[in-house]
Amino acid sequence: MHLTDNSLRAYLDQQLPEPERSRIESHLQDCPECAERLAELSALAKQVSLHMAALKPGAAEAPRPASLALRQFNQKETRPMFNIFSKRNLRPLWVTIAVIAVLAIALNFQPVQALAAGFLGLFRVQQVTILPINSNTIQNLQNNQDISKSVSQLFSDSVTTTRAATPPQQVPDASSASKLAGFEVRQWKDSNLPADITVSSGQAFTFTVNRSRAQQILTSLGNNSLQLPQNIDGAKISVDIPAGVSTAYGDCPTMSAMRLREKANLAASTPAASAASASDCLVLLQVPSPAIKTPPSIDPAQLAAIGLQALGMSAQDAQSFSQKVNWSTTLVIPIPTGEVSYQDIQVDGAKGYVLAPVQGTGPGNARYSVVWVKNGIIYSVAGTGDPAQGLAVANDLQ
Amino acid sequence: MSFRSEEERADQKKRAAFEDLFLQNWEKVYGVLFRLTGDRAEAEDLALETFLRLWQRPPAQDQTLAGWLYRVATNLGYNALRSAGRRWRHELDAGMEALAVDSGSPNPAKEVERNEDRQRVQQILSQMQERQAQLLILRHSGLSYQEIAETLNVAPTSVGALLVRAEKEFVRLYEEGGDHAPDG
Repeated sequence: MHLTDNSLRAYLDQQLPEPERSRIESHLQDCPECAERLAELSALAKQVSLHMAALKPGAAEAPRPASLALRQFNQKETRPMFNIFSKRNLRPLWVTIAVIAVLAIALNFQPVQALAAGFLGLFRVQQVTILPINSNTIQNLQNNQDISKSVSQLFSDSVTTTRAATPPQQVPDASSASKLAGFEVRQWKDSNLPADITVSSGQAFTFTVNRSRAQQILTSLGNNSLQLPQNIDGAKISVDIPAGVSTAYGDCPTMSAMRLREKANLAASTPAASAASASDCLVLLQVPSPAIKTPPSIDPAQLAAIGLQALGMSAQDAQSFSQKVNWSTTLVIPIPTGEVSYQDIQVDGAKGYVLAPVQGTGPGNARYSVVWVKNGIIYSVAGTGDPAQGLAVANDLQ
Repeated sequence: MSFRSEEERADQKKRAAFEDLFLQNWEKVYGVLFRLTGDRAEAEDLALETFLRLWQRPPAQDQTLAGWLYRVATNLGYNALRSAGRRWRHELDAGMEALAVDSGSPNPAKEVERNEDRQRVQQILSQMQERQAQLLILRHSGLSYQEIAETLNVAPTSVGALLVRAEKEFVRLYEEGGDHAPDG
């Protein structure tokens, strides 16, 4: 009698106890048919294993060591609000910041960025504006495999890193941060909360546009009438993201967790974590404008209009929006309508926005983010609860 | 000099046993959750939550701890995956990471490619029967057949056959192109 797939598979995985294992080994020696099936199952397992390896945490995604995790667990386990204010719930704050940053540097993860903001002249942020986007459109784009493949191809073939990022560094005070980041770092004047300052290194890279691939993306978005101009082919675009500084005031799980991961130093975060209640966390982010350089022949307004239409805007609306915006100085924040609400305000002597998720779309407390640009530096204050608090902090920087 | 009561000693023993279990399983539980969510912060959060539940509401006597632990982790991971808008957030976070505002990514192009592979595999898993997808994730997270059997409530002696079936299905979907919408 031949061996079953079940036994052969378990044998391959060395999951059989000894008498069984020997029995199979001796059978395999005498039965070429079963030996061949074993080879087939082995090839199948290897093939799947190769694909599944993509899900494995990379070096930068390794969890904190078990002993540190346990200490954090012991600390959190006694706190009743364990789930309400976890890093996960805080993350939309970071997402808001990410939206800004991603858009600002025209990074390549989504067609949104690639098309709407990917081809600017010399780009220096001086102001900020909002672009409402239908969230269904975004979801559809993301679920489209062809597009994500084309986008990643568009960039993966042509990106050259000119200044690599290095891990974020924690610094003791604002003056060390200023020194490290190379710009004057501001602080919340009247804070009596512990501050946790981290400097991220920034990075720079260049890429070359392949028009036919970019056009392919447009076409796969389903709008055949949109044509990219010929002159973008071969355009060399360089992106330089300067070092940025984030300051966390109070009990900020995200920052603590970052610190844990970077320094594996739990002790330092303990006093802050236990002293302040969750709603005391505020994060101030300041990043000088990224610089994006493109050949002068490129017309950003024209490209923006094409990109906006690809995102589902009518030709007329796209035209009017793209004419209204000065694409070489404006940071455009795309807001998924129905998920995030926004309100324009005066803050820190500049025009800015308060962004907050539409109620009921996320767990935990309401999160908000105040965003503005002043003297070429992008600022954001993010927190939970009443946005007025964040606004007060934004108006109280030195 | 003070004598601890029976109760106190029992509590301490329970705590020690729990901590052992935590230390032994932390990485593997994280591994399962990372594969499900593709996100470090989320996977760590959910792993901590899994252990919290274990501590607060330990399983009944007749259940094995490992089985319980991985079952809860898998369920939490799946719930997180299903939550609305998650994908959108995930993509943005990926953008964030590449920016090095949060963590350093020396090579944006590589990052894109890696993301692409992940998304493809995750999409295929989402098209499979939930149990088959879980089986692959658990096995590739390094669980033994015994642990898998306890997690999924199947006989340990049937895990091999179930794996073969799941692998064949995975390859079939992969070769088909994997571009069908998940069927809920």
